[in-house]
Amino acid sequence: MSKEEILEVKNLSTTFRTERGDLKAIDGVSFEVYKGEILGVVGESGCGKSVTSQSILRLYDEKYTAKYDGEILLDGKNIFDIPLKKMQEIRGAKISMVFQDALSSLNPVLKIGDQIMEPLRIHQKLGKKEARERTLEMLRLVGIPAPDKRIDQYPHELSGGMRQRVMIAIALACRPQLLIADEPTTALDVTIQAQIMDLIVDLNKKLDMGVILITHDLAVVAETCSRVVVMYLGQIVEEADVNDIFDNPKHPYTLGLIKSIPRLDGDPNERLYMIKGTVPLLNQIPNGCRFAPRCPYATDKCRTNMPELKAVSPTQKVRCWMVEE
Amino acid sequence: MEEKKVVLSSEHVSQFFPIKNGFGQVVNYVKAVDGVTLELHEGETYGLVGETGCGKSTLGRTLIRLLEPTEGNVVLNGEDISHLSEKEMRKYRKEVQMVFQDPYTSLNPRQKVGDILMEVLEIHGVKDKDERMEIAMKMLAKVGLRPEHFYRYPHEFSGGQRQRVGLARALILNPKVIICDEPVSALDVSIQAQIINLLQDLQKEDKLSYLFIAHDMSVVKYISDRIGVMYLGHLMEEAETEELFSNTLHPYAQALLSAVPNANPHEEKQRIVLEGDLPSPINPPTGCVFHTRCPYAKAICSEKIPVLKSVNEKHKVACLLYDKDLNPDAE
Repeated sequence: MSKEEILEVKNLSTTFRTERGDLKAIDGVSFEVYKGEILGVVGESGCGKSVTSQSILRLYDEKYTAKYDGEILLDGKNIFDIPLKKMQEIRGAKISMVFQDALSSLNPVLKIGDQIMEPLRIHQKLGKKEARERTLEMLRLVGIPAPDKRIDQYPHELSGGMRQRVMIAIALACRPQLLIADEPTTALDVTIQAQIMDLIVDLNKKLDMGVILITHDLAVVAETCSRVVVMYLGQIVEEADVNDIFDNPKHPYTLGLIKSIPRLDGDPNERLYMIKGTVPLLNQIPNGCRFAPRCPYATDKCRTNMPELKAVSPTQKVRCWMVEE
Repeated sequence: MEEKKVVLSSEHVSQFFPIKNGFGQVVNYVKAVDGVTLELHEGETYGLVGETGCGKSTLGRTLIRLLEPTEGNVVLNGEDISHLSEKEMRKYRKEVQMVFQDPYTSLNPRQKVGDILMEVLEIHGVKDKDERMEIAMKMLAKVGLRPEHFYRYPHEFSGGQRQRVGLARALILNPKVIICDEPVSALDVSIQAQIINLLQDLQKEDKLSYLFIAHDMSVVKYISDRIGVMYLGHLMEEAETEELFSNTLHPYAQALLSAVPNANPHEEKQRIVLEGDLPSPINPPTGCVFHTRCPYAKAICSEKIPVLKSVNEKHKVACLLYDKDLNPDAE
């Protein structure tokens, strides 16, 4: 089965200029997203998940704060070659994004209908009447009851789950090829989280788009994603199908993450595994393998030489010396 | 079976917050907690779960007497502490302590960690400064921090370390009960595991009782001996952990548990999706508060209020489906 590639990230690095010097938040990240799949990006806070996603949309100010390297290919064209002004034609139309906190991402003084209409009017140049029709259709699609009433309400009149549905409606209004969902359910209750994740899975199938799901919740990944990228300190340490990640993790960091969460079907008398230490700061990146100081299997080689991300099977790539030997 | 010692209990505790109009007259109440009865045994962990706004944190705060209950009694070691004054409360404060959710805002940023810990001791009558310092140092070691951390400010710590400081502050008076209000939900998974393990080690050492308030089911299942499920200020179901997960009785608890994701990609789950939104605690539904969203609701559910009743020795549920006294059609 050949899969249609939507987006290819090649050797992406994002460097921030700060008072304390340049900080490389992402260092040489490469992955692909295919049509119709949900790609999970996992890792702890500060490992570069969100920076990766925001770099794909070039959301950081390139003049003063950030510097990008590498390539991001959308339909074979490098996003970094497009003039910044033309980026508007991609954001929201071809690639769109859903953020974590729906309340602060929605404009509190605009009716939700107007906010969903905005991308339709700008990108697809629809008239008012047509745009309203499409907006009602979108509200129905994301499962908001009584759409003709809700369309004229303000964000504060909706519950957290509803707001996140509106965010998804805005993101999908122009039928993008790729949806980036950055921790879309972190602020929500489990019952609402389940509904929103079901909606994302359902729309992913219905609209045949690619989804990048950024999350720190491995349980959500296990239930929704088809492929997973594990990040640590700005690098990909493992990439594999979801079953391989959980059944056959090769990188000690992936293994540590999986073992450290309590599982519903786990034994409560067994102690939880602990990854020792914490994620280092970006200006204290260790030599050699970045995970070596926290890794239980680290050798002298790990502390001096950086391993490459290497394929161990057609679907699994790992950045670890143990696997190479 | 050996009778377990109850250290802290609530008897029909209600917490109503008044809503006032522009003239300061009370026009209505937010019924945050409504008639909750529960018991915390010595050395056990009681997990309290429920969605946002179900009153679990308010109940926690009432049990520690940060709030005075509107109705009902809070009993600590056999003594009713529900209406004691601030001053009278002071000697009981040693017994029950709290760990808060957000380790960033629950520590005073202008106090050094050592001072945060020693202040507690000073208030509770340890007069000698050297003694205070010695106890604080021991406490730091106990929660896995180093002596030099004594002289540091909270901002110099990571989230996990700050939560350790919060724990040290709670433990320094040798309490019997600790109320943990979402102690790990702001932490990364690897740090979360460290704190959970620490909580369990401390419990074994000192025979502590925890009231563990959280919304993450897998964590609650892992750490708790018994679990209570709350909805809209009411305790709907209470059971021993294994029993609750293997034999969930209340329709709300069934829906809540079915929504919990499990870190196992091979598992296909049937979800029970609840219709509608959480009703407002200002005007809760009549009868059973859950009947507006319950898939099994019958006419009787909107008339009679179910009470928490034992179905077996490990399991209590407040639902008319199982209550033959109130509902003649029950199973």
